[in-house]
Amino acid sequence: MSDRLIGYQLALREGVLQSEGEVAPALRQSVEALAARVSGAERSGFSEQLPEELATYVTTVALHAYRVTDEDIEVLRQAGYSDDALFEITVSAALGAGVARFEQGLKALKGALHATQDA
Amino acid sequence: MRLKMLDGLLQGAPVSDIQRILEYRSSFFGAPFSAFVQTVLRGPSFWSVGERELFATFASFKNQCEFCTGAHGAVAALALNKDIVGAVLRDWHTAPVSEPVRASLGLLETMMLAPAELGPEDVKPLLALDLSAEAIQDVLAIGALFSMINRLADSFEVYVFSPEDFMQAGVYLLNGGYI
Repeated sequence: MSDRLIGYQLALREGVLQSEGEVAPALRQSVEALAARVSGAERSGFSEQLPEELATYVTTVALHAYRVTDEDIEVLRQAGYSDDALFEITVSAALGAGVARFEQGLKALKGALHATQDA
Repeated sequence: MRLKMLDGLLQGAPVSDIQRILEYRSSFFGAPFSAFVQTVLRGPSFWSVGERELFATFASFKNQCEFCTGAHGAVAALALNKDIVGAVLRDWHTAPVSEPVRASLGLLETMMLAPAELGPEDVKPLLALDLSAEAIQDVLAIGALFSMINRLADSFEVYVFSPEDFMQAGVYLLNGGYI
């Protein structure tokens, strides 16, 4: 990617996945990785296995966030997640869905440029 | 919104729930996100501001995000015109837009709905129109950023403005940008 945009992407990833928060960075990174993976990106090495209720929510946010309900949030509250934790988890999931698309798109662009040069 | 501490921010101020999401612990997400959005939607680009807002509207529409479709549709309507935005959302294949814009909408559709299937074939139509890699990266960045904010708008359940309020906010966003 051009230098023009990469710095912005890195700053965004750093804020969401590495800054201080209520949810441990390793768990936020696993949330981002799951969201990216269900969005088509290649991701290996989950640092942490997500609890089932969390994996279900992250998958919903990544695939069709418009289907998230009050009940989905309530289930996680009952499981012990605070609203701040839910904020961080949801942002991490949304980041993964977006970054996955960016990666897939940039890879497709690279492939198309190579194909054009080879032709 | 579903997380009450977000509702508590900027109470009574004439701002959208999206601004509340961006304001909350802004160094975590809002500040770096807004900086990225500002450079992609308002910085130097092959695409006009109106075209970029149209891409944002279309991506949001494909993600079924009512708020972002309305908000950016209003900015695009102000920068281009209302009929073009409506025509693109009805059917981008036949809408009265330039061929580079149409090809980009096709790329965005796949990117939003079937990202796992994205491949060189989806980008070749844009290269065939002599679009630069940088112009294509700008389209992809818009798709990526709106994939994020659309999901937050819907997961947190932001309040959706009336058409009149979207137009009023659109004037502000068109002139003032995102930071």
